Amino acid sequence: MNIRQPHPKRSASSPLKRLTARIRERFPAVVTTLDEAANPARGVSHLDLLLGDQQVSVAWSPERGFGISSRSDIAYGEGPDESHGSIEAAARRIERLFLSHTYTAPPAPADLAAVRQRLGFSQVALAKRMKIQQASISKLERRSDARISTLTDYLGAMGADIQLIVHTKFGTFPLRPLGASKTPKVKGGR
Amino acid sequence: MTRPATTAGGIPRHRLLTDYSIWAIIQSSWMPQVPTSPSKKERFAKFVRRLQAAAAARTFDEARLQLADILNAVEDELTDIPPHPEAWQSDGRMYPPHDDFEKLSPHPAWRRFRSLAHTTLIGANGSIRILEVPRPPKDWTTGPVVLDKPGADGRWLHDL
Repeated sequence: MNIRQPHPKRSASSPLKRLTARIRERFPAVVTTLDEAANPARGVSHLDLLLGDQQVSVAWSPERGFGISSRSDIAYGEGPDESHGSIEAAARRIERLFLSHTYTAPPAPADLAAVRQRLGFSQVALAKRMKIQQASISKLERRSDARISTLTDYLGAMGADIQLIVHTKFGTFPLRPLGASKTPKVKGGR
Repeated sequence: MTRPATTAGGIPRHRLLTDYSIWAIIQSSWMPQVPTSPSKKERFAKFVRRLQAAAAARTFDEARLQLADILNAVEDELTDIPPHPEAWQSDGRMYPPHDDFEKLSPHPAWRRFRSLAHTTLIGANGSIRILEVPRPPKDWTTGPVVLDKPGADGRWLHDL
């Protein structure tokens, strides 16, 4: 077993320290605790903030940025509700949560345009990558129906994937991609 | 004056069909059955019960694998959310501790993992302790203990 011991020289994650300072400046009464990642290079550190009776939890890692949740029913190992790329964005969001006394909510189902925007693609850039007209992207995003292959191409061009889940009265299971071969028979198998 | 328990014909009153009971029978047999998914709280309670009941682990690796296997099995059984352990944001599914979520440990024989709402400690002898993150925020050690399980050698985390 590889045991990681505390390292006295390790300092707190500076982005979370800066975020804490920014929130404290705005809300001097805020109570905070910082829980540092064992691996500062890629691990996730946590910051908990309490103002009045409202608690906000922040997760941060160099690769993923800031994740924010303020619900009281966060499940075991569940990820944050929201993702923010910068200290400024995270600080603004926490300030809004405290000022409005509102709570975060789990990510809502997104439409195609929202997924594209979240992945940082414009319609023009995606059309160029798919070697089709920008108007076709626009049309697809406004359609109420689409072929699975079209959706797969659209998402695949952005490095994303699609999974079909079948719900039946006997249970729920993922649908094998259409046209994909069945599990090959193994010679000599049972 | 109390009502007799049976009708004049000798039929127990509680067996009589009232308008309401007829309506309820029709509803339950004709209405489509809407499946209800167990809540996160129920799923977590089931995970804790199963982990507590499982055989004690002998090593850190065995305990971590056992925790992950039991949690994944509970989620596969009780939710229809496909697993995406690498996803950053919540997808509603519970996930076992990932290496990236390891925190500094106060004890050389423990490893500590933190998620948004829980701290999981696993000992070198396979012992496991899960605590809630304290609300309001305080030292993580003060969080309520949800599960405490000794390793196969009978020692608890605090015995190490």
